[in-house]
Amino acid sequence: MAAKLLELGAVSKVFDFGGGARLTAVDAVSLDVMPGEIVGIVGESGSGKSTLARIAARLMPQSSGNVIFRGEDVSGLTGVRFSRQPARRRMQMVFQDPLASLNPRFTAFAAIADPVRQLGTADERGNTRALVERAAQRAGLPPALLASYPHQLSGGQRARVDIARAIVLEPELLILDEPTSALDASLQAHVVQTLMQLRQTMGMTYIFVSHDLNLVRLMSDRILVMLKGKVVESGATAAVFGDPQHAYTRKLIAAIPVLGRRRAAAGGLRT
Amino acid sequence: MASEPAMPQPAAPQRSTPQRSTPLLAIEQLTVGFETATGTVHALDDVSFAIGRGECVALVGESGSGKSITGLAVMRLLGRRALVQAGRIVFDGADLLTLSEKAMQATRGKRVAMIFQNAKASLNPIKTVGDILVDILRSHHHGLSRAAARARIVALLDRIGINEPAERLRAYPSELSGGMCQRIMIAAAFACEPDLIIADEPTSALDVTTQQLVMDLLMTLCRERGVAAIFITHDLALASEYCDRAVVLHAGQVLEQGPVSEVLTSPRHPYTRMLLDSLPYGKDDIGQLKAMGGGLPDLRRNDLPCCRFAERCPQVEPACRGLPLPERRFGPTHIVRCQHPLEPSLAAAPRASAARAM
Repeated sequence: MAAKLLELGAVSKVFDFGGGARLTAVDAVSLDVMPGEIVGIVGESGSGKSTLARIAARLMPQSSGNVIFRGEDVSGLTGVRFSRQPARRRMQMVFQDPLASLNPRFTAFAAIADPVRQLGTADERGNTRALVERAAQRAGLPPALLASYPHQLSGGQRARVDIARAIVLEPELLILDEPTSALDASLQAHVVQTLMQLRQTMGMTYIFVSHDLNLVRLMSDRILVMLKGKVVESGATAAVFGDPQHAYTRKLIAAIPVLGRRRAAAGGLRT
Repeated sequence: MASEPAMPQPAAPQRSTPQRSTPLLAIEQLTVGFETATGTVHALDDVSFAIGRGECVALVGESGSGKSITGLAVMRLLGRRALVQAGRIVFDGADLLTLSEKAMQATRGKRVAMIFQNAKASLNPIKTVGDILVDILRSHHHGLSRAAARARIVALLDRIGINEPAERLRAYPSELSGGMCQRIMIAAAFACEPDLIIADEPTSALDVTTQQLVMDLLMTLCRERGVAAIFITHDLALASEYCDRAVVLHAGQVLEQGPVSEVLTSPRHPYTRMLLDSLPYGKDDIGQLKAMGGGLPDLRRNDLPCCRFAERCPQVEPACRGLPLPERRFGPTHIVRCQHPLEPSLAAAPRASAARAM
């Protein structure tokens, strides 16, 4: 049994708004991620799934609990302090809205090169162009587009820039926060296929946050269902979808639109 | 809402029966371009479809296929750069494109209402939800007092199952959830007693559970009141669950239309087939997901092929580029515009698991 890649131990996040107003966004969530796994996290808006992803990516400090990455306790390290750790380059995040997460004044090339500049070794920095071109090619971004700014790219191309940026240093763990929800179905299929190919060629591990249960079902080995900050159900994807135990999971699955099924809407006004 | 006058239309629309007489709305050969610095964008090309009273029609297709433009054209909200090059939009016997702006104002919002994707963003953030709704209602019902308008809205919100409606109306849009804002907007749209609702991706910003709530609300109100709906979405499964017919748009052209049970489960146009294959619905394995080749053509081109799907179509032949789109009928309302429509067996083949629960 391989060593755990990421361990979240009873992680909580409490937002304090002052005047006694508090929100427990993530409530004592524990999660072990094994190398090569795809773990899906599903739940409605406000369930805490993105907050959990940000804590795992060390973009946000947790209020309590531990985060262990590649056997190293990184609980106290977030943001810049985490970026000084050698482990930092082993983990990357892909965000939901590439237009918002890409710097509008960076070309695609500069955006993809940024991790090399920030986290790369001297050798890698000297070899930036080759690394950027390889990442762009792996992410399916035509080389001709590397000189473009985000506003000159389509939604699908921006998503590819974001993915290329995340994989340029060949991380072990990719944390994907709704990577395709800004995309059309046809583009979504492209991006999903790219992600699945990358995982095969590079042996990456994914934490995949989404509210698209259909996609999570197809992509993940294991899923976590979150509701109001808590994990209400978790297990192998087939088991959770085949025999959901928690009422909320059943409700989520029942709400997924199904092709060719008529929804009897009548009488459904009060819930 | 007891005091609400009865709708003039028959209350129970005939589902799945095509309206052979006069449809409520008939879009006929609508061709729209937009003038831009880099040339004319040929946004809609010869778009025709009709909606009967009480019928719900889904407009489906990728981003940029012209779904929203079609909806905005009916509302005559295309803006100054739009050029309607040909076609008519006949609503209840009158061509909306020839109405005076004043007459159009009496139609827009009152007889044809629109619901947008992001309810929160389309509400004035510095007004309470109640004030917004009262203003909407009063602008269409002259002589209605503020108190009467408010009472009417409270009663409607109460009837659609929103708890403490008076309390909600005192809130600002930012204080309510996206789903709550959208339900309130739907109530507002119905408060004006329209004949037609255009819902442009009303649930795309919402969770699946909230989406179900909002769609149930929208469709129940339509059915109860005999209101027709144009439901713009890129979610084909959602369209198949709630709509009577689907109109498939690609790069501004209607490529297929017909009952959802035919178009979205055994399509006869290669584009519809490919669109369905790219969706995760009903697939058992990630390998079954087939990404569609190419993208939409640049609609500024003046040399667009007659079939704008030709450059992405696996079965393209010279006639696709050079000959006008033929209209092939596969049923009373199932129309496919393609030189080489799919055989029914081929159309249904890869979707054996479509009807399964997941």
